[in-house]
Amino acid sequence: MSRLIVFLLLVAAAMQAPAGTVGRLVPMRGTISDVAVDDRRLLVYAANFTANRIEVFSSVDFSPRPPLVVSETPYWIEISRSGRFLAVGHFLGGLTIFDLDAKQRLDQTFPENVLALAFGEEEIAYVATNKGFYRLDPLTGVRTAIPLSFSPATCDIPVKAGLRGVDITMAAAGVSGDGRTLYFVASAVGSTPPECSLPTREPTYLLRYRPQEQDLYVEQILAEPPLGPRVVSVNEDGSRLMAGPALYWQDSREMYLRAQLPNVKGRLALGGHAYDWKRNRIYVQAPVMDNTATSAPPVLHVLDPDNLAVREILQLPNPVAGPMVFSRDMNRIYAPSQSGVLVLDMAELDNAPRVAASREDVLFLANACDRSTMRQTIRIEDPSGRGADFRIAPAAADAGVRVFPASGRAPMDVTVEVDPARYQSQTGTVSVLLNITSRDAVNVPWPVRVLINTKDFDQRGRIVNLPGRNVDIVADPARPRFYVLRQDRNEVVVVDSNTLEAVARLKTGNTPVQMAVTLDGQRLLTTADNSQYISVHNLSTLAEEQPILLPRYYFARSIAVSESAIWASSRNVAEAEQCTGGRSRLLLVSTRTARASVPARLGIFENCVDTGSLLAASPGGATAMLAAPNGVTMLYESDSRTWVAARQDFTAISGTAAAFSDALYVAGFDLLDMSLFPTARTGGRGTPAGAAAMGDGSFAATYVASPGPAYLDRLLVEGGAVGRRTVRLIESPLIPYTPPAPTNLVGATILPLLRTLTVMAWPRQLVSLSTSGVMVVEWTFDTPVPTPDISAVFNAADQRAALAPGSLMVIRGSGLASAAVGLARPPYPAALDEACVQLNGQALPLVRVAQNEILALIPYDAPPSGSLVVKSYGGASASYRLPMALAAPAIFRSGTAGPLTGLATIVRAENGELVTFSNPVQPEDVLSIYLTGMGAVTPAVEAGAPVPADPPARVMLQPQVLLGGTSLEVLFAGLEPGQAGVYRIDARVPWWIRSGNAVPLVIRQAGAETSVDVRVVPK
Amino acid sequence: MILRVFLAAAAMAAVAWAQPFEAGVVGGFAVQRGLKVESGSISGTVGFKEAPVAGAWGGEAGRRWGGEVRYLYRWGDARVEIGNDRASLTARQHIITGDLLLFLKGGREAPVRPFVVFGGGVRRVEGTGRQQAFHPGSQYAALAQTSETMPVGDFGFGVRVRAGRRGVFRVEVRDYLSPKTDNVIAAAPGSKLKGLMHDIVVMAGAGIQF
Repeated sequence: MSRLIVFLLLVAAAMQAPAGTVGRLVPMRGTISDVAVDDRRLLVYAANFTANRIEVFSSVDFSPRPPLVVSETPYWIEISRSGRFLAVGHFLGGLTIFDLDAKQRLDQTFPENVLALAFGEEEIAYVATNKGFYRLDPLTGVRTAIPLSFSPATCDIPVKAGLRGVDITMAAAGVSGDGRTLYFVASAVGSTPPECSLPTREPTYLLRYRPQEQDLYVEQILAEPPLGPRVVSVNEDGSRLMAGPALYWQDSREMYLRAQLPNVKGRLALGGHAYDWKRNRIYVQAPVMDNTATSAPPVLHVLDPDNLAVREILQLPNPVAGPMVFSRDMNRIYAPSQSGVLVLDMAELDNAPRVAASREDVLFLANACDRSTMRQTIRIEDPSGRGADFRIAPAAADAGVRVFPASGRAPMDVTVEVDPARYQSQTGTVSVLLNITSRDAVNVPWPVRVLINTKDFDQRGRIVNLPGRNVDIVADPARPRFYVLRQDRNEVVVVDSNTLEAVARLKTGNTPVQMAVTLDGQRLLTTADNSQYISVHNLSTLAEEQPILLPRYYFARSIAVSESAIWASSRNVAEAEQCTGGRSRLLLVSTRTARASVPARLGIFENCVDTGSLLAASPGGATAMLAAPNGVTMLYESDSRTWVAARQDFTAISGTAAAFSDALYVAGFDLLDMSLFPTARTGGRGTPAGAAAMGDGSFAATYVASPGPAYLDRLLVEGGAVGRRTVRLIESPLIPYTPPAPTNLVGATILPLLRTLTVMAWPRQLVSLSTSGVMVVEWTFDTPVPTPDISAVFNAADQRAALAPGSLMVIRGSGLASAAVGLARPPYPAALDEACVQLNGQALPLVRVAQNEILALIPYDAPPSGSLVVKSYGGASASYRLPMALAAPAIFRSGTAGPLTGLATIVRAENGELVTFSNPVQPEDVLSIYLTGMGAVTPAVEAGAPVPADPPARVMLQPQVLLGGTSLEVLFAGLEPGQAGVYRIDARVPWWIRSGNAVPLVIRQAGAETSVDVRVVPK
Repeated sequence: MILRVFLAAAAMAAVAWAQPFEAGVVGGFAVQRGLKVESGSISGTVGFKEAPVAGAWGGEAGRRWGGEVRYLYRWGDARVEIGNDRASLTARQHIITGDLLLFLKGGREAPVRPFVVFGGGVRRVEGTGRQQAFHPGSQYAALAQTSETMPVGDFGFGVRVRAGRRGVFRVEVRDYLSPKTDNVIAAAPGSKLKGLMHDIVVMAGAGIQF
């Protein structure tokens, strides 16, 4: 038996974390509610709530030690800073204090439910019970009550299966790193067994005690969701703590909610967290939404302690279920878990294998004519250098995207190959996610987003890739910059509007929603849906300044700066009856006091508006408009400092709203006058996406519509009439959408009305949030551009109308291209300078393009007839019917000799010069004749590509060559190597050829004929 | 045409065949007055450059009349000169004539016997240089690496000097006339060649009387 136990112990001790997870599990039977770390004795103590004992194991080899048997329900366990005393609090009453140095034990009866306890800087414990708060001397066991104005509430036993200790006690404690600040969290309202259910909004007490100053601070919090996991983690000096999902900061003014974890339901017993102030990180393991411990693999989120932005997600072998406790040197974490105690070694965590892609996005810019496969490379890396394996593949089967190699070991370059032909009907941007998985890696890699844009040439704009979920954009009125709000990283991306490159990133609150620039152009204000403050950044230094604190329970959303007031819409968790049901108060924001307040009313109107409302200030700030999804519009006037209009003319407003001027506003498709009365419609279609004043009396508006992908209008409003000039956009601007169900702790709040379009003063351009990041449109986007028009088509060799497969073809017309661009030699692309030519929908290789002429190559395997369309910046031409023959040989007239031009390209092999009057043909000459349009060849050759020399590509329809009626021997007839669309016939002149000054040289092929006169002289 | 001329010259030579026979070699220099080329208002000159000649003759000098057959090799590049445009092509000519000599003074044994000469034959012109797709002036007249044969008529005068019992010296000037060329030098479309080719040849020769 002892051998079996030893064997099992060895197995248990050697139980390493499974591959792909970080940390190791020390399995235990029962329900562990708390742990304490004895650094002096290299032991770890775990309170086994249901087994009525304290489990003990070695922190060196994790081998078990004899447990400490205690009375029922040991819930909370703490060790003094000297390591002498181990105190255990029992829920059903009582304390057990172990003097580990003297090897003595004191069992103290305590007729109160012990909810939590903590040791401060000195060797004194502080105990919270359901009746009060006590100072306990572990040496003597003497308790001294510290007066409390409240009594924490609890549940009781027996409870139903699945609940743990904290579901009953509903309390937790935490101590700052320096031991001078203690925090306790307890419920203000109890719950009833056996369910011990909590309300959605839970009144909770947060108690802070500083023993040195005997400073006791109590605050009642209304938490929605409840503060679960019910754990308290504190930083080094006690100024910051995580209580449940909430991160609180204490600044010079007060303690405020700095950020809260999004996407959690606040289950008390599931998860835990730890504040690693040494490494400037917070670790959280918490189930996302309704994913419980058994339904989703547990992951540890590594968060930014400033705003809980997710830096990394690591896989754990077992879910955490209680407070995560650091060793004294902070190099290891011990936490109660579902199956025992989870041990996280920080060195192992930092050096564990991981995989990550070198890029978040891979952007392919194709066009509606370009069918050539495109490739880009991304690098899969393992920052630990341990060569983790990986697999990468599209999240959903997509025939247009291929990744190879699909697996390997990091570091490795992976090629992403895209077939634009599969997306050409989109005329916009398609997004395909590539998922990365790994057996070895401990992290959950972020997916790579492949963006494929296939635009028509008349689609305006230039794409600037800014990865992430971007939800707002605003131009800097005083600097050549604009700001994009990246919600998934809780940051503002500062973009230089000249280089269109990100130059800085500013941290915001959690789940930022909208930005506004103060009228003096000095500050950027950013709201956040999971932080109770508005962040302030100095736009000259880009430094963060003192945040603007919001009233308790309010989270700011939309924000607008007018001349006399800054307004912010909000959502709240505190309103009992007055303003609920999807509504909340408007906040009046003061940068001077760095606080926001809640006005009792908005002029004569109630202060209770839709939480999805959008605020927009007019360009000079004289007014600010509110538009709500339920159709309400309101107007604030700076001069009178009050709300002067509130109307409900619509049942709903969708997409966007904006203040074009002090007298003209837009809500969805409706134009509103200075009293917000609807006066006209913009005439747009689809879903409104953005609207902005151009600053020259006109206005810009974007829409997502089908066939699209999107449109940009310049509106001119005069006397109630609306003039519009419309262009297509290169990809869709952002429109409101419902985010997918969350799978991690990255917040997502998309307001039902968005601001996605901004106008830059310099350089003068429009910038819109879009699928790939932003798209930049030139100021003169609506300058009339002629639609391409085809007037004539002929072969480029002799300018006759005869055309055939393999012909170099001249297209004459107007508006065919915007500039003159040409290539000297193949390969010839399918598009040049925003112009392309399609024959029966297939793009033709282009040699050169100009406004009035295009030189293109008809493929060697083209059908005998077809429809020709030119696409350019001005749109698509009408279809031009193009009849062709099987063959239409045409001798090039592009030869030059001295000042002579227009010479037929016939070369005497004797001297390598063109046949002319002074270089006549002679008997037994070998002539090389260069033509186009000789039809199909074998083997097949890709149109536009340089013709290979080996094997030679010969024409399939044999030509006949006659000189003065005498048939010449044809030595070769096929494509000229190195060229495209150029054929060559080599023919030998017999010795009996008759002389003459104008002897016809005739080429006949498949019923077509071409002829040129040449001079023949005797030898 | 060429055949008739040749036959006529041969007939004349045959008449003189009954007389004592003499043969010799000549050498000299030819200067040509070229042909005129015109194209609208533009005009120029084509022809062959002045060059040495060399040849041989065989024939008979009677009391009053003589006859001979003469072969002359003429060097000299074909040329085109139109304004500032100048081009040339390496060329050669073979001239064979049958001629009649009319002695103006002195008997058969006279030491110095002036004479006039006239006759005809054939001239073969060969362009031997490398022809080019373009040369200066080729838009008016083109030089080509080809050959052609044309009739030639010649006339001139000279003096025959006896040297010893059987030696003979001759100095003479002849004009060899031929029509314009069509191949080696050709008028380009839109241009015309006008005139006759005159080769003024000054020769001196020595021979032996049999």
